[in-house]
Amino acid sequence: MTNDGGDNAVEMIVTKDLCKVFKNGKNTVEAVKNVNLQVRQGEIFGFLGPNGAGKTTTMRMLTTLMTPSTGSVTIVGYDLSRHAKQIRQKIGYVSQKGGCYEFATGYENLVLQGRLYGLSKSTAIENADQLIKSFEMEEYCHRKVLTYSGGQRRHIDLGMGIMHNPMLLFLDEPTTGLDPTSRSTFWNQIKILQDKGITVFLTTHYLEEADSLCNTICIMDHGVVVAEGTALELKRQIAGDIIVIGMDQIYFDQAKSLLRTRSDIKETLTMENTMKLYVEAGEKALPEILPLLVEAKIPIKTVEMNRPSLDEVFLRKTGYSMRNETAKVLGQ
Amino acid sequence: MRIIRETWVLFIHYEKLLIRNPFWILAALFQPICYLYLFAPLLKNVVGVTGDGKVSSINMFTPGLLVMVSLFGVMFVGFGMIDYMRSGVIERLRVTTASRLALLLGLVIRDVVTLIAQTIIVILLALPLGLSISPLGIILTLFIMILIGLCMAPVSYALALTVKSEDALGPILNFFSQPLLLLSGVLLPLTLAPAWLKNISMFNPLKYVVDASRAIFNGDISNAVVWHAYVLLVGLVILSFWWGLSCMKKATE
Repeated sequence: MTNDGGDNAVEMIVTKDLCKVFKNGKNTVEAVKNVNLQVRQGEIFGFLGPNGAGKTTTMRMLTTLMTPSTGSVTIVGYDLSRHAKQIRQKIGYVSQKGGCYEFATGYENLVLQGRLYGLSKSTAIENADQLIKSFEMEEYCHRKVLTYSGGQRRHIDLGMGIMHNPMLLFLDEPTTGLDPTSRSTFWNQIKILQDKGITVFLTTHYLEEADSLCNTICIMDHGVVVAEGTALELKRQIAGDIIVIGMDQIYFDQAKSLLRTRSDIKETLTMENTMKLYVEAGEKALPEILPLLVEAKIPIKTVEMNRPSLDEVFLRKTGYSMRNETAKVLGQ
Repeated sequence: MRIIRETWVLFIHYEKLLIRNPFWILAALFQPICYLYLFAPLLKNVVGVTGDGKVSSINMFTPGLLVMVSLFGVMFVGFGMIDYMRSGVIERLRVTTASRLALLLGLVIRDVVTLIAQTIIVILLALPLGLSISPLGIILTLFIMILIGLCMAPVSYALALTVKSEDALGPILNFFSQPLLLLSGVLLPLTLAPAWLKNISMFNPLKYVVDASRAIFNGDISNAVVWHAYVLLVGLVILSFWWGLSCMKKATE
């Protein structure tokens, strides 16, 4: 990889030991610690993590909005510290808020956005017309953005991000707050962008989104990358099955000591009134474990056996359940 | 070249949005109209306002009023910036390739154009009250107003980008605007002031601007206070653009 950049770069994003330290008086917070990322051309890269994990900070650095404290970043072959302007020309960015002029129409927003990227008036109008057609925005594109529904707003935001035909598109939690129908429409559009050769880097709170949409998933926690790979690879890291047993918290210690001798239980996790056992072969272990607990007179409320999901991966890697995180975000 | 085009495109966009909602321009004129018709007549009978009596009280009052209009008209433009920051507009603009100076200038020029319109309207409204001013005087006054606008708007935007909330911006602006205004001789000339008040006012840049504005209105264009004020304003404009631009460059850090 050379530093002089160019469109032939196969790696769209490369970071080496990327760090961001915030200083607030005497306190220093390491928001991002030694992050090494590689995003290949044409992929949809999902960036996951609980709130405050450092996702947004990382994205802000990659989109030229924030200067890294240390480490190097190469975007589309350009060195971030020296060629921010060239990088801006090659990337699109859609923040959570979108950032349209609310009192202007969607159409006006699109044309202006194109012109700020140096497009001529006629090219900007041409691109805007094309986007309006392909995103089916004809009906509302001449209304003020203020009047748009959540789904319509996301369409115009996405359009704003690709007005100048970027090679790489950053999306910060693009579907948060959308209803399921709008969300699946949005996913389809992202996939169409991928077919056009645009690389997509997105943060999300939805595991099913990451699972079905993203080629590569990266999980971040406390400013550190804790897992990276395809959804399948990540799920395989959790070998075997998960047995979930519902019982009162007071029996946790008793159950744990009963099960200590079993070597096929790799890990035990307890959450409010449920105990999770990560076992090699669930179908064999379950009939043996249950009698042990029943004999000890531990009242069992529910029993479930699960194949590992992305949520399990997330829970194991970060100690949070993504579903709770999602609920928190939606509740804000 | 590109920066000029970007500035122009943004300026036209902001003007369009403004014209769609002209209520605010009219609302901004309500205060000067009140002062012109409800306060200026009082000055006729105040001894000392008109100095040696050669200058009418309306000619004494209107220049000060214009400076006040420019100050209050432009000082609060930062509130619009906070709105844009909150809705993500500024962040989106900062990821485009547009020059940071163009992002600032598009807004500032809109504010200056509004100010020019307000100045002309106030002068027109003061004419029936007996205001007399030469065409050259009007042009020189407009230049002063433009410079005040170019100076105040970037400061307001820079403050907005720094404090990031209306709750902080309002009190800060009021904190500075009230003493600036009262110590500039806008309402009554400082010739009426006791010595200590005059001495404090020497540190107020606005005082020199008001003095120059009065000299221009009274046909005393060659008076040194006029070019002093221009030099002072140009210096302040440079400083305020320097601050505004550096805030625009790091707006979200």
